[in-house]
Amino acid sequence: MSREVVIRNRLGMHARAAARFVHTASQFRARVTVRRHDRVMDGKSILGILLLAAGQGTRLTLGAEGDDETAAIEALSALVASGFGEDT
Amino acid sequence: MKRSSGRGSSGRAGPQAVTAPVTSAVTVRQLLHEAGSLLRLQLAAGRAGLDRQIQLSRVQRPGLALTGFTEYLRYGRVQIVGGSEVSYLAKLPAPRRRAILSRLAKADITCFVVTKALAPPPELQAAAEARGVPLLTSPLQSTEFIKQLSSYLDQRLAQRTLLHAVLLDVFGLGVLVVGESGIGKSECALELIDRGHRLVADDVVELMRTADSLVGSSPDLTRNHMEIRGVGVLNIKDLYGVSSIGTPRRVELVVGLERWETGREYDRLGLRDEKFALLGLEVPLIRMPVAPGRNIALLVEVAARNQLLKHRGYDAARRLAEQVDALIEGATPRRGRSASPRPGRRRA
Repeated sequence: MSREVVIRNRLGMHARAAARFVHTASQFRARVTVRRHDRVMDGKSILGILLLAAGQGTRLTLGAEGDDETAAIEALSALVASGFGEDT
Repeated sequence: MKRSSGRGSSGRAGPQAVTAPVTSAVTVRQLLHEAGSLLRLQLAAGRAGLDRQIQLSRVQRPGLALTGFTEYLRYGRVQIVGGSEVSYLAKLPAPRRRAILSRLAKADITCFVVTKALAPPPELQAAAEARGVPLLTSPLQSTEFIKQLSSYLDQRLAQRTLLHAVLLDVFGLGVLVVGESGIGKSECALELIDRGHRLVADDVVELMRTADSLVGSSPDLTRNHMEIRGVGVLNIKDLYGVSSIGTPRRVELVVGLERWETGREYDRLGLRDEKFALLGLEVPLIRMPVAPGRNIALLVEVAARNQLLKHRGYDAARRLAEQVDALIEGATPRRGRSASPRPGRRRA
């Protein structure tokens, strides 16, 4: 399954935000992907996520495949929507 | 994520998080910017059309099109106007020349390049300007120009994709380690670096298809970097020195790390010829089960050594199988048995 999200916090998906994302993704068994345009990265790879260089306002498509995919998508989109717990 | 066919010989060791191969194109503007000084290009007319796209690395020479037969002209290819074209045009009466060149510029064309420092025919210049078709000049001879341009375009238009993997140079052999997230690709790579091998790219590998090989490199941002869970992001070049970093490399062996599953059969002989398919090419694949007590880095290193031996024509598993066949042959009374044992043949 997949879902589109928009980066809301001012600093975008910076290093610590990316680490938080990868940490959350790694708690699920599902394979997680993050797509920006034609680039698809493994959602559990910190370097991959950093390479997306997703700034504020960037649209990303989260994908998950596995028995806990729904929970993974929910948790990850909530994390992105919360601006990674930072002030937006 | 969808699994497209032909992406990995099976889903198990298949590459993860792959971008669809993009059919690339280069605009005339990019050509001028990136290869302008190499090819000594100058823009003579048609600035309005700088965003036209070059899609093929093979150039075209309009030759026959100058007689009015324009059907074979193809958008996406660079049209080379060389000595023969220019002198043919010069021989034509002016009205005929004007008619032909204006018809030529109306055809859907990416751009013209006039080589050999020849002056572009004024009618071509006018028609190119009017139609917004870039007209470039270069002092290089046509053959030299075409050679240089094709090699630039081959690089630039090559099919590319990204792979979640690690690429290493092990004894000069390009080894790509793939496998699911968290299986230990980076840890394996770190140990190989510690043993004196070189890192090309960790985590995200850019792969490009050239004529007959896959060439892997690292995206600029993550070059020299590696992430190890529990330690964080490391700069390998700073930690281990410049000799720990490899340059872009041809992928010659793929090692797929897999979780050990009891009851699953793993290759015990090394006679299976498995392939890893990517961008329409195939590379030898070894499936490496990961389990406690197995030193994966050592195993990858030994697999690389073995692959190097195979490149030199020595296949240990085949050789042993042949010897066994020969022994059986010798011990069995000859009855309808073929005299020469085939490599890897199984006992009937």
